[in-house]
Amino acid sequence: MLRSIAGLARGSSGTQSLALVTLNNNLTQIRTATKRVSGSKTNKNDSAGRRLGPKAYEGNYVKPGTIIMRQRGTKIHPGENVRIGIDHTIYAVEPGYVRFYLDPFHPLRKYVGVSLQKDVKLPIPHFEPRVRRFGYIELQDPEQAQKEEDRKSRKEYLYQSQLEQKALQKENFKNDTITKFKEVLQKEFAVTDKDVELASTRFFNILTLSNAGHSIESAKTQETYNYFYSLKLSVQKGELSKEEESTKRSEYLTFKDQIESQVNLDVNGSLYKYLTPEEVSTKQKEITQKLETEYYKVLSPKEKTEVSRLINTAGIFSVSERQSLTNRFLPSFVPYDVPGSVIEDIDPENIPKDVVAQRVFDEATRKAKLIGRPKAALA
Amino acid sequence: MSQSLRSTRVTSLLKNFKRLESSSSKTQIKDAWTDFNFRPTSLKIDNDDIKKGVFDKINEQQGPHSIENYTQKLSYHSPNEIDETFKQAYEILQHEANIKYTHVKGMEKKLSESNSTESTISIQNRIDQLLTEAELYNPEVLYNVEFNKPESLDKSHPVYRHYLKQKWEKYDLMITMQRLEQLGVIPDTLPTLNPKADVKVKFPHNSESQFSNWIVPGEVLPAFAVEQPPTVQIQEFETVNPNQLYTVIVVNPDSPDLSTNSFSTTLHYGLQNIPLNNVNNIIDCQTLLNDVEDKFTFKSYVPLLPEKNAGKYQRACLWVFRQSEPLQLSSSTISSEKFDIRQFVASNNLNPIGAHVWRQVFDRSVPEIRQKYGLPKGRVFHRVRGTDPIIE
Amino acid sequence: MFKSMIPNGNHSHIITNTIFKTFSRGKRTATTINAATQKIVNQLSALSASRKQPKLIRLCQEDLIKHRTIVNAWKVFKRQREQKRTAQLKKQYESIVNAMEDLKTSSPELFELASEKPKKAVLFPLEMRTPTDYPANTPWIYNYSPPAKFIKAKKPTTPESS
Repeated sequence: MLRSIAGLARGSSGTQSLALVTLNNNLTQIRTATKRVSGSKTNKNDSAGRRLGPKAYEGNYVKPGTIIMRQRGTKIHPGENVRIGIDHTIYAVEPGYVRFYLDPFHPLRKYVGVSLQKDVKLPIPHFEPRVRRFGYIELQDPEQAQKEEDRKSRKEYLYQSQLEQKALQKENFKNDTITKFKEVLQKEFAVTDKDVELASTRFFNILTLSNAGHSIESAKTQETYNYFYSLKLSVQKGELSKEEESTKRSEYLTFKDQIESQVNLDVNGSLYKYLTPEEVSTKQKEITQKLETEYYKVLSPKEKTEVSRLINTAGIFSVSERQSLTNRFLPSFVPYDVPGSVIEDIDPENIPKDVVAQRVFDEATRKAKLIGRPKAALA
Repeated sequence: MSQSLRSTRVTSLLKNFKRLESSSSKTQIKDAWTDFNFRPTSLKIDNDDIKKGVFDKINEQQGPHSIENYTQKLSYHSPNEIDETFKQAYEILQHEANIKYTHVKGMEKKLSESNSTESTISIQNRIDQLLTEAELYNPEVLYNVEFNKPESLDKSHPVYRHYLKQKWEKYDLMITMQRLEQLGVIPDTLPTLNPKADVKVKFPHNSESQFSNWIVPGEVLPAFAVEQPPTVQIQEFETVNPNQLYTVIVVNPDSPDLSTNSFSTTLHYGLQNIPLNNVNNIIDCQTLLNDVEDKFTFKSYVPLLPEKNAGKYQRACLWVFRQSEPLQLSSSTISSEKFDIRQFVASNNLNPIGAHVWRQVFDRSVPEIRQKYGLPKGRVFHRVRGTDPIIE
Repeated sequence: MFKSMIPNGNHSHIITNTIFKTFSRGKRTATTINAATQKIVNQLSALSASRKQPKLIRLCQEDLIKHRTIVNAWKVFKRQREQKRTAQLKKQYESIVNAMEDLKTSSPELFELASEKPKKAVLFPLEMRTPTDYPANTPWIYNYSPPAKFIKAKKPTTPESS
């Protein structure tokens, strides 16, 4: 009701002024009221104070999670043992005493942190050890402790079956290898029953070490060291006396020397009669000579097995030597310079069954040429 | 056309150079790089075929020896006139080396006459520097550095150490320092480190190749992988004094200390008076096998065996020190619990030259290894971390 | 020819003067994309950074060492040349300083004259016409006088006319 009246009044005054303007167009200008007296929204968008500012002061004791500072932007930066929230709220993550401080590494910033000790000022000097809180509580009840210790993470729990399977495989491999070694040692090298257990275990351990990257020689030293180390630990535990340890040591050394003068282990895991370095070098020369003279050609499957047998003769060549010999004499793709790997002048119309035709570029004549290559050379 | 231009330019340069040469002082040593009477043979390329390929023209018909593939070998072409230019370049560089070697001879004379240790050291350093400069551009040395394994290089010669140091500074040193700083080894154990030596660590008793290689600083290892003492390689790049002794310790700054609700440092391994030099730079099981009477070991190795829920991880910090004099430390005088490493270093006058770190958490192999070492069963902590403050 | 490359007894090296390359010629197919697309493809490929890099020369180990040695020698040679040049310049400068010192004591007037700083350098003539992409052969005619017919044709302007 009132509003409509007011509206009417305003409307009437508007029309009136319009009439006046039209009337006095050439005479005077009239400035009408444009500022509304009330009911305007312009200055009314104020909100309540956000209650910003420090919530804990210098030296106050705070618990983890206590809010120390509410702010817009980082008026104060988070220092030690505190963190900053999404709205720049700073809160404690460790129990301790609030410290407001300056950091010489950032001279223009103010920091707030939590000192874990009452009399320690922040920042802690740059080269001093950090002050850290342990915080975990020991479980006194043995039953509860055992339960907690056995508790598995989800990942560990899901991997159990695979881990068991792996352990079983390892165990089986160990048992198989050791029984194989025992047999060989007893039959071929007449190792006494007393020593055979220790010898086969020793050779198995050397084999696993060599598979992990040791050379056979360093694996032997490592295995001896491992044995002595276990003796040392049993002395520490009180299971052996010092004297017993030293007798066991010397016994083991004599056993080791004796067994090493008889048997040796090859990198591929077979046992062979010990060879002196001279014997090894003569054998090496012999085999390489034989390979060079007889097997440098396109090989038949039978010859290939023979070459592989020669290269892998136990105890003669090292792993890298074996690799290079294999590359030379058993290549997957026989190079052109190997005798018999190139058949010239083949008839393109009538290519034999065991030959593959290949077009090659001859740089001397600068022409393409058809040659044949035996299938055996390309296998 | 351009080739002939280039060649004339090179010959004119050489003439220029020869004029320079004649103007400089007369040198005593000639053709230093081909003379192996006073230089070690480790400065030679071992493989004769490769050496021939470098110093003579590569046979177009046979191809370079370094390429293995037959077709690639035959289709390889050297850049034009590389051999002629190389000969001239070699002459220029060798001339420089000759001058350097003449200097070295003079310095060696001085060295034999000097009587104070300080002057001896300074002269020795100068000789090392001159030797490095003399061999720095030797193509045979370049070849060995570039294509031979770092282990096979002769570390007794300063030039190889110079190149090894360059390589170390480029990657391994940066990784080590980053891990030491970010994992807080510095300053939780010692204030800082001025690295002087490349320290490498491995656990060779492992039968799994995953754990038997050199470990990267900061790696998290299971307890069984660190069961036995580590092999430590300390590669010094400066010439080592022949009587230099080293101390190596492993500490754990993360042992729970329930009396203060904080952490304490524990000593896990301590070696002293280990003589090392540039070539014999490894402390391995052979060293320990020979050390029957515990001459070197003042704290026998105990692996870190973290307890269940005792923090995020524990750091095994390995520090290597140069000793200033022989030490007489023994396990009876040093307590491994609440070990103060800063005080230990200060009182024994040790100079830290390198460090390494690996991390450990509780895993299923911990109880077994505790048993092996005759240690009591580990404590178990509650999963949830409490809010009790530090006890002062 | 092939027989010549196959050695009979000695296999350690190859006695041959021929080089073989196996090759297969790819099928040549007509491009199906239209000219506009091809243009875009060309533009994009021209933009790719890898295309702008010079081709990497693959050297065998021996040649790489030779190459590095040559670069090192060139470095050493340049350094020596530079050292020689700086030594020469230093000597020259020192002798100038000495001569001036002598002159100072023997004849101060001549010294004043000799050490007088050169006058202000002649700058680019400001009155010259603005530089353009296609300047005239004679940039400025200093003694310019307009042709006589223009002088005749010129009329005095009056303020009334505007």
